[in-house]
Amino acid sequence: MDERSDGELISSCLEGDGGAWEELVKRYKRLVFSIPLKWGLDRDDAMEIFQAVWLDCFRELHLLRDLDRLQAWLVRIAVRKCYRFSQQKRGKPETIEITETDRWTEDPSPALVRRLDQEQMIRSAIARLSPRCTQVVQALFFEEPFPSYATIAARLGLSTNSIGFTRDRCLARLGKLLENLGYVH
Amino acid sequence: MLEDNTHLTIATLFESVRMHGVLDTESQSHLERCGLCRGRLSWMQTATDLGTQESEYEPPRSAVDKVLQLGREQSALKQLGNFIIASLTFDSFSEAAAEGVRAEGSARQMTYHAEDVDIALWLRRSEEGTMTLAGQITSKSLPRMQDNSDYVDLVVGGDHVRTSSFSPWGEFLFPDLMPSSYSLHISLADRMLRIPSIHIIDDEKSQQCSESR
Repeated sequence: MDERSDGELISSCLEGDGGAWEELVKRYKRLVFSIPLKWGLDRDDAMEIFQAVWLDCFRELHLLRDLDRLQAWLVRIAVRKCYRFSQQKRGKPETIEITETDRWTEDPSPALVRRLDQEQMIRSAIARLSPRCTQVVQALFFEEPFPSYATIAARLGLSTNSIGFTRDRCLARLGKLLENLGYVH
Repeated sequence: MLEDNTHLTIATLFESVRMHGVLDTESQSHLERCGLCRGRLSWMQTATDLGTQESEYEPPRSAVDKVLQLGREQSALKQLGNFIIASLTFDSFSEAAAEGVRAEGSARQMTYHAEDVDIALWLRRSEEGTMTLAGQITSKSLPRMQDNSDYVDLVVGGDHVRTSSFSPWGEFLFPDLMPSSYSLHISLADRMLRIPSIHIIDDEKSQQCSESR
């Protein structure tokens, strides 16, 4: 089934479809929550920012309907809230993962926007994989320590000899999806 | 030597990123010339970096539930769908006050209208140099503000920077405003009113603010 676009989901929300709101939140929840954590805020403060961003998003839905990129809007609002939150709480935050440009601003730097774009594309591409490939890719990239190929094969009910083929096929599929999504390196 | 049309295998690229394998000289040389292989290496690196953090990026269930609850409030969704832009009907900086409009010292006064609702705004500079925005909503259909869920948001570029509730007489106040371009979103019963743009500029010698529609 084709994934509904952000604009379609927003329109459905405004027609009273609570399921569309849930789909939007599910699509971008990790992106939004990652920003205050990258900013160096703790999880309690990150939760506050997360909820504030989504409340703003909800209250702005009528204006966001015609926006091409909800993702860029969410990033901008989250960064602004992190900036303001840090200014109010303890002055200029210590930079953890976010690299700002020379000028300290409340708008996200192009480098940050690009990195968040890339990360979100990885999430989107994985969400479009088959359940089996999703399992393989999550084992390959998201598990620490890296599980052995024998372990992955056993989970999938495959022989160890055939896991290499499955891995390559799933990685190639993921690469193709990223290409279609416009991943830029 | 690898031909330019013979690419590094997915397995080679994956193991160099995820298992910290070292590419041999020939592969390195190919990588320098081959955008396709560099692209594959790039997304694998991003996926690897993300992979170590992704479980941390999952927000707590309680926070997600609170956010999801917003979409379950049919009255709020209905209100968002009934969205009205208020129009400027008076600005003390551009015209003389009409009979019955109160003048308060050097404050700038503006009034807006949307359906049966009138919104009066006053902008005043404090001794510290910041601006205070005060307002009052009047409506024949809402003689007194009795619904505690109504609110007014001060918004900068989509970011709702402050929220104020109403007094029983429809008054609200935003003190200590810095120069910026603000809009007001007013939640009122089943409607959402919006005053699109109030610019507060940082120039004491010139006008305190400007307004554009």
